[in-house]
Amino acid sequence: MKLSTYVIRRILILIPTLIGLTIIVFLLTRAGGTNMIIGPYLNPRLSAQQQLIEKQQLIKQFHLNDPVWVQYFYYMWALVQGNWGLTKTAIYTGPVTTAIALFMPNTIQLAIVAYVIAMFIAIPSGTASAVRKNSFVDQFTRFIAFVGISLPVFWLAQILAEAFATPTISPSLNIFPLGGTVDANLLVGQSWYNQYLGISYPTHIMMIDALIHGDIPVFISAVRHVILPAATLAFTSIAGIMRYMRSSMMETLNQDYVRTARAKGVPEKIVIKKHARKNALIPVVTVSGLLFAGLLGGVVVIEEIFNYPGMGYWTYWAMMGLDSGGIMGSTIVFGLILVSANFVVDILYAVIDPRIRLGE
Amino acid sequence: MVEEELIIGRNLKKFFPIKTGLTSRSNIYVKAVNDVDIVIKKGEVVGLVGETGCGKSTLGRLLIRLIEPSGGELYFSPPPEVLNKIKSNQKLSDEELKNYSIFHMHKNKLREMRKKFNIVFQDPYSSLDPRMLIKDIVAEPLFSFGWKKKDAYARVQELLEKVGLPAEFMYRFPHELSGGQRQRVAIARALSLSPEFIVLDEPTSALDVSVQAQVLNLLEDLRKEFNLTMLFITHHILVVRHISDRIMVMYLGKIVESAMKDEIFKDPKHPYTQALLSSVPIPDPRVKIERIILEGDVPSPINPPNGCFFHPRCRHAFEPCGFTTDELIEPLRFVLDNKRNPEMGNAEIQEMNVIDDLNMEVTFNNPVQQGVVESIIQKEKEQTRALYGIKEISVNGNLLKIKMHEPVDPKLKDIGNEHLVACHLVNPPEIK
Amino acid sequence: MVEKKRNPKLESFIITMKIFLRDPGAVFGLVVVMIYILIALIDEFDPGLIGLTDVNSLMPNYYNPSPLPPSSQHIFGTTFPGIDLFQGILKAIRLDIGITFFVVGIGAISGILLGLVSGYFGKWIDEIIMRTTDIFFSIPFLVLAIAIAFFMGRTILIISFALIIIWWPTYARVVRGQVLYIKELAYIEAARASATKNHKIIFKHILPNTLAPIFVQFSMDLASVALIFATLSFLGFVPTLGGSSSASSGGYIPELGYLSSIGYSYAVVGDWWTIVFPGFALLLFALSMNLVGDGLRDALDPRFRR
Ligand SMILES: Nc1ncnc2c1ncn2[C@@H]1O[C@H](COP(=O)(O)OP(=O)(O)OP(=O)(O)O)[C@@H](O)[C@H]1O
Ligand code: SF4
Ligand SMILES: [Mg+2]
Repeated sequence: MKLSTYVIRRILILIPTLIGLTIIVFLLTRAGGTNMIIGPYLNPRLSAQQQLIEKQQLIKQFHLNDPVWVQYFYYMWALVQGNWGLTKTAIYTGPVTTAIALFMPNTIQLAIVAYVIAMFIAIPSGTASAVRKNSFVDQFTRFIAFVGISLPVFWLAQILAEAFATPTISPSLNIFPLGGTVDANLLVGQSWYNQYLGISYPTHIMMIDALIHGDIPVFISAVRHVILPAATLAFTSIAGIMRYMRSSMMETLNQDYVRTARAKGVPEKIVIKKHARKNALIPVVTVSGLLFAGLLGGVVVIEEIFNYPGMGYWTYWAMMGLDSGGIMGSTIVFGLILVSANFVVDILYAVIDPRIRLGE
Repeated sequence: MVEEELIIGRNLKKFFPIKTGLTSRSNIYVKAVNDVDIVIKKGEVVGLVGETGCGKSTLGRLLIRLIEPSGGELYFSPPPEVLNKIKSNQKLSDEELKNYSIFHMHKNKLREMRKKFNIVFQDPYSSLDPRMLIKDIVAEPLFSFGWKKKDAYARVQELLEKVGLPAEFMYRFPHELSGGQRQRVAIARALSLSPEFIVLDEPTSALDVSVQAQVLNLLEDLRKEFNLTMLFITHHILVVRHISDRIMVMYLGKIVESAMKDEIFKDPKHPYTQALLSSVPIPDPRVKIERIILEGDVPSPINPPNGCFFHPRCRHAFEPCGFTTDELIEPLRFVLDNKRNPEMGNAEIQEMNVIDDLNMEVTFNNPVQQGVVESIIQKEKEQTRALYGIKEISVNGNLLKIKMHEPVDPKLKDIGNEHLVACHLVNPPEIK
Repeated sequence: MVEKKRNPKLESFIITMKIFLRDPGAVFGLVVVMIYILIALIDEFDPGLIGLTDVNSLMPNYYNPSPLPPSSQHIFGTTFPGIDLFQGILKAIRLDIGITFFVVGIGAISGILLGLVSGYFGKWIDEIIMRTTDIFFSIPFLVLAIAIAFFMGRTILIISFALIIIWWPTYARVVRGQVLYIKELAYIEAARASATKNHKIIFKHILPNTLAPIFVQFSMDLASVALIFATLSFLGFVPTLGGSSSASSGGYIPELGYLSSIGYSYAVVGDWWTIVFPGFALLLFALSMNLVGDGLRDALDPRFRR
């Protein structure tokens, strides 16, 4: 199969997946019942009589008396038009799309930092355990990997919060603040920061914007705020990446050109650094992206525990506030992220390894 | 030996679709078995020989309908009146097809028929379920037809004895057995329902040489004892030299020659068979065959050549064998070169233009003469056989127009003594 | 005559066990898991045996609600409101283990069946089943579980259902991959040549040969499901038992994630034990299950045989 054919085939598979995703979310909202759909729109200050009338209007507006599949088309139409409904939570009330624009950048920042941390730990340790198979290093990383996949995320987050952000327990280690993305005092009067919305410009990603404006104190504060949640998120994926790096590295070390380099007397360190590691990295980097997207759901717990205002934090408060708009919106966004990651990884993989294309 | 047909296959075809595009449908096929007629007589052992990938296994599987056919008809021991109709190429009624054609049978009837034929595969490691005991492996066909456990295991014991294995092997797993022992188990399984016909798909090629001989001897004994009809598939003709009565040679999905064993070894008619035989040491001083080395690769079964599939490699290929214009491009460049043939003068090929399979045009930088080109072609023909494909040429100044002979498909033809050959040399068509 | 004394199936099992027992991690895991299962069974059938009363409630003590540090009276200390953590954890194991086995069991059975059908019959059946798994794999597990529980309700059945929905596709894919490989092996063809019926081929030849990776997947999933189930409770999807929600009945549901979430507001002011012990109990179970899975992977790998 040619690459272009493969890409087209993969896109064709993407379509039913996306439709399936929206159908699932749609069916879930309908399973929740009428009140759940129109709840956020009701004005609690109205009298019971008036509420009843408003309810009727809303039912009409959302076509809730039509057959389910008709409802689905209205629902899809609204989605496509960017009309994702309202969210009413303790932390934000307004259109779902605005909420996403507010919270998404923070989660992206968290994910990037976590990914960097995960790679920095997983790649060297995976390489080390591949180079020295069954050594102490290998056994130790193996054990850490097991702990990594067995740790309850919420527990790890709690323990880190206790250890590094709780003055009563560990005064000397209390170096990372809990809550928010940055120390708000530092931003008072900054032209590139909207105090009211809590958004920085131009990228909305605090660390990057701080760098763009050369504001080092803000940057440092942002790093200190993100480091604990990012470390937690990173830890959940380190195990997988590490083991994957190990097997990829072992495979490369067995390849002919690496053996040739060794036979030619190239020093072992250079063999590993120059020849093997680079090639072993390609599949690891692509696949770990996918692994990461899959584990992104963990931010619901992590952001809640660290009071970090991202998508997960919003999801959590939507859940607490019986806010169906928020749950629906965040589910679709998380779904889209994973679907795109899946798609990109598949294509990259087909580019790297042509056998995949033939396998289909 | 009773001269009675057990298996008759007509126009057997098996095309495997290749997935290339977006949809699951495809119009590109591997033509693994391409219009094969085959007759196997009761009690006969037929050796099926050919290079790897020529479709031997596919044909073998088709004969017991392990894979779904793409076309053709297959009959297993039909009653005389149906047999006559088949032989005289009369059309069978739907009723008769349903009753006697293996390819048209209802699946329950086909299931019943499975008592009568079975198969032994090449690889004794993958052909036995690693999680089953030998007794259950051998008894599997018996259980399919409702045998009671007690009877079945008694039969298994008897069968193991027949194939030369101790009875305690019943309680072993396949991984506890050697390759040869496993193959004996596979043979016992195939024989368990006393079938009339078994396909042996390279049953010895995965085994050590010493073990090969033992298994071959076993098969010979069993064949006598049960009066078995067998199709013995191999890519090595010497393996079947001993055991088979008749040998069929297959090339690119077609049977190209079929004859009694002695005849094939003494007087192979098809150039491909001759090449095959010349490559094996024949322990018979009276037979002297020069070594013929087959040139070129086996063409792809996806796009088999025109006419005779063997023609690109055939030492004797001539006019009707199916040369096409694209096969002429290289040879023309070679022979119409004024360094090789100075008669060409200062004419050099400038452009070659293939119009279709049978017509092409060659443009020279200077005018050429028809007579010169004709004589060069005539002279070079013997060495560059593709030139045989040229039917006529016409020259008009710088332009040479070439027309090729129409390809003719060689058909299997009986040349007497039950010797069938599909080659134009033996059975020359009229050359127009 | 046939030597009947030999039992090859037993022998093969013994070899598997021997390989498994050579791995200290796996043995450790197995022992821990056995203890957890034992505790769950005692909770269910005779809680008095380990001094527990009313395993459906965490037994609050409103006279002395503030968390107390570990002491001889409360070896793991207490959490709000006056709940003995040691007893709480013992009770919680029943629900966590029970739900986990139930979810993975049902998820595995349905996934295995669908995977077998998908792989064996191929064509459009395969296409439909695989595209469906794609859809379920397109939402992060935790987010999907939250959405299902959020919209459909928080009864223990719905939460289990949510987790089953999430887990079957994994099995369907693993099994399908195995089937596609095994289906091409000659022994399947030999079975068809022997007129073996489809269902027999699937269940006698294909299924047993797919089991090794399924066992491994199964044990690792017991760990993951226990973690996600606890996470859901931690987030507030505390399952209701017998129709009474935790809040309304005043009975605190014994569940490890929930215990951990109660403790959080106390842990950040210094009462570390309120979260350390429940979380550790969960970590120990998940780690053990993963170690067992890894041990099984080696023990069931035919390359480690002869
Ligand atoms: N299931 C299949 N799908 C697609 N192509 C197939 C399939 N089985 C066989 N083929 C193709 O059909 C052709 C004939 O294969 P077959 O196995 O019959 O050859 P063979 O003569 O038995 O070769 P060998 O000596 O290697 O066993 C080959 O080109 C092969 O690639
Ligand atoms: S028909 Fe005979 S002579 Fe012609 S190419 Fe084929 S084998 Fe050769
Ligand atoms: Mg073959």
